[in-house]
Amino acid sequence: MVFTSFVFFIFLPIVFVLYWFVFQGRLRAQNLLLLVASYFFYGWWDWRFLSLVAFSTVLDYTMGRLIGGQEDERKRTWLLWTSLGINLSFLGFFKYYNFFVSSWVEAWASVGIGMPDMTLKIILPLGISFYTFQSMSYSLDVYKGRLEPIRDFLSFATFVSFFPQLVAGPIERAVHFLPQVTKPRKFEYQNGVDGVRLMLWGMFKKVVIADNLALYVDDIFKNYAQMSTGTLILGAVYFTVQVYCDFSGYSDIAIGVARLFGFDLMSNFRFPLFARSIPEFWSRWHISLTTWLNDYLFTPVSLSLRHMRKYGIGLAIVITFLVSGFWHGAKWTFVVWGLVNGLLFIPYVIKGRLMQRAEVVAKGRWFPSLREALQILLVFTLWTLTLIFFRADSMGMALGYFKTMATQPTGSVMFKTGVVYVALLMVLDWVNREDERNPKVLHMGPRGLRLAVELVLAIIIFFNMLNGYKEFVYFDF
Amino acid sequence: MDRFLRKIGLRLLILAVIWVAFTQIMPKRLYLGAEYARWETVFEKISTLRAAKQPVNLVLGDSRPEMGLASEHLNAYNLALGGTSPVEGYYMLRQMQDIPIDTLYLSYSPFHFHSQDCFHTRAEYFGFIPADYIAEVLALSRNIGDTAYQWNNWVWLDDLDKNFPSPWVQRQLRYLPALRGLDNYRWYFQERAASQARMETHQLSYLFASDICPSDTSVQEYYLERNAGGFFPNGVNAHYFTELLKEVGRRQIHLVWINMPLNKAIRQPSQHYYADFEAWLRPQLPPMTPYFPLSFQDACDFKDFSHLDEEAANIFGRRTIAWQHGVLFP
Amino acid sequence: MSNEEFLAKLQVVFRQVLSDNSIVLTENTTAKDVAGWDSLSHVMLVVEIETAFKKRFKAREIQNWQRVGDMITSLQNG
Repeated sequence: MVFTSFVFFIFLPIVFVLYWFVFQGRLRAQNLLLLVASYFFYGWWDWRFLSLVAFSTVLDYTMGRLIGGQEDERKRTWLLWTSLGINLSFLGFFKYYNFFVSSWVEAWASVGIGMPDMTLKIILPLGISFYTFQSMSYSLDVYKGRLEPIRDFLSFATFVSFFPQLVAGPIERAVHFLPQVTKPRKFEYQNGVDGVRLMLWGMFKKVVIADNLALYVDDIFKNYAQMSTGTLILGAVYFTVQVYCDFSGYSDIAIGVARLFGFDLMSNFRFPLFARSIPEFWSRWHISLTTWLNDYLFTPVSLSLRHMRKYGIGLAIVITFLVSGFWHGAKWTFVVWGLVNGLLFIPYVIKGRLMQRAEVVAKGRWFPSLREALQILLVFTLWTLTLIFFRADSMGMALGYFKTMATQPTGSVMFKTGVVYVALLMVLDWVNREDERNPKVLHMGPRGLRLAVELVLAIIIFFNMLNGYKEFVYFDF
Repeated sequence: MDRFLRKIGLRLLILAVIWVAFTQIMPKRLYLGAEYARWETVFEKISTLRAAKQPVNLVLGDSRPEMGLASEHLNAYNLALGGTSPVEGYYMLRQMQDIPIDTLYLSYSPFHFHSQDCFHTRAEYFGFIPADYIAEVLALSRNIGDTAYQWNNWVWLDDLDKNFPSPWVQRQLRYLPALRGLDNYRWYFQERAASQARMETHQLSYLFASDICPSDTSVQEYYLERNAGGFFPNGVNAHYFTELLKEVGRRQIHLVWINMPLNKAIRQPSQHYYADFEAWLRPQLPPMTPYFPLSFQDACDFKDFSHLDEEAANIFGRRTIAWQHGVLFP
Repeated sequence: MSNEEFLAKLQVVFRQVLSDNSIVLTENTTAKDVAGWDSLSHVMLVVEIETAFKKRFKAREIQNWQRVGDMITSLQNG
């Protein structure tokens, strides 16, 4: 089921009413309802892969118990690696098997040796990268002693499969989420209203901005060889805004829906398009994945390489970004995308200023300073260029795109109307920039204005939904 | 909680009111989309043709000539409309009573003789064909017990109508498909501009860009479904086809029958189907009518399962006029 | 060395690595309290602390540090 489909608008009120009216006051019944609803939500897409979600749940629940009950350090480590190994081999099989096999065949073919095609027809189970990482974080946290293993299987199963964030995050952490499952929830008026507002805003970004830009992006990338420099620049910018609206829109809807059930999910995007430096960008983009990789990959790697000082940090960053690229998909384009983003970090490592605290941009002012504006523009440009790898179907296409972009300055610029969507998003997001969880455009002004904004957004979303929804970009990962 | 539900409920209520108001005032063309734009352009063309001093050449037919016959090569206006059958064709010809017609190219695919696609959803709903003619067709279908025209693409809506006899509710329900197609306003404007342009440049022919070959399987499934049980023209279509031919004869229009090429991929499943069709059709045409026989072309000449792409349409148009000259001046 | 001495010496390292002379550490200081103390500068801090105290920590030990007090405990245990 997809958030922006009509069936979701039947599903959600039913679960809501059952949750707050029928099962109110009975925590286990509420959790069971969430579990059933989540499996239904996922099964609507393909019930067969429910077995994978269930397997992942049972595996990490059991491993968590075993690791927690084990005193012997070596056995604990062994158990952890077993758990990670099984999780990663499932992910590897469904997501990466064909990539390895075909790369292997191509490598042999490049030296003139033919190999039989051994790729399999595997469907990528929706959200597998997300829920696998989520349940892995539980085993890791138990191993590191940050978390007591949970004894309540139902709560754990609800944590792994919670439908608002099951298929595309935010990738929740057990430390943050499990206590919320095991404690009774209370409906709060303000939280509910803000949740609905956030859903509305997320839908606007997804259905209105992202889906409309996708029409241009698909056309431009498909026929890039015939396009001019200007059109290709527009195409890349449109894609940047599309993928941001698509994914942050999904996260907003997820956080909003979770609020309706009294849950608090972590923020996933904090206005990355206004970031003033590369490190700041990554503290604002896909936060749940970045912090996951930071905690479980970058930190251990950088600590073990710390004798190399800055070189060690640089190396750890590049490794982390390569994994991040690979997490997005089994394609060389994603690996290159990750590598380039890792390399962009290097100047900041050398300067020794890795991280500025991600404060609100131009707080209390209407406009950024000239310096800030130039910084934002630079980061946006670099990010947009790396996203060409992200969007291209193959390395050949990505390089062809760059080449055409550099060599066709005279042709006419097409698809200019998409600029309207880009400008609209930029202006509204600039207004919102102080709080990603309560978009200001829906919270400002007198009551009448708020109502008008809500209704206008709802109507625009509704009209655009009639277009037929498109899948979220991040469903492929 | 009560306050929350009241707040959400109030907003849903306002949205519902806005929708109802909207459906009451919205012009049809805004939600009927591309198809409506094509009908509109064709009927506008018919009214401008009234001023024609010289006899004109016309094409009438279904979507295969509409999208696959480059009528500029025939020096004819392409008034074919997708999903139509001789029922609509006869009406259009009668509408053009006062327009001098030299040559009429007729082209209906076999399956448009034993089914109706869009009589209710386009001919009736768009409103270009007056209600009394629609009623006449439906009355005939009842009298002769023709089920194809009784069948309505909106059966489920009729069921709802019975349960909500109030005309106001019925009107809202009728707008449900409109609601589903509200976004069509874009396609309407796009197609409106495109069909106006086609009128200027291609005498209204709809030319499909050449693309990759469509897949064979979809084509076969589509036709197998349609051809089940062989070729059996239904009574309503047969009746109006006869009327159409009578009208042609009465006005001494030169008739040319063209069978649009079909996709090779569909030839195998039911060869006798096409033979049955031609055997039924030919004796009805006036003697000496130039008759372009049914042919099959490679799947790669088609944009989708049954409509020629631009290149094939131009080749076919030139071939047709060459053939016609060959027939008339041997 | 007493806790206060550890704290004073750590504070010097922190001020130097994060180039911020306004940093004041207590045992309960956490990463959230200090501007610029994040997972990236954390590694640099660890390296400098190890150099300053001539000591090597285990990676797992370091990852369990929640606050400055935990650092001092690790230092005293060696």
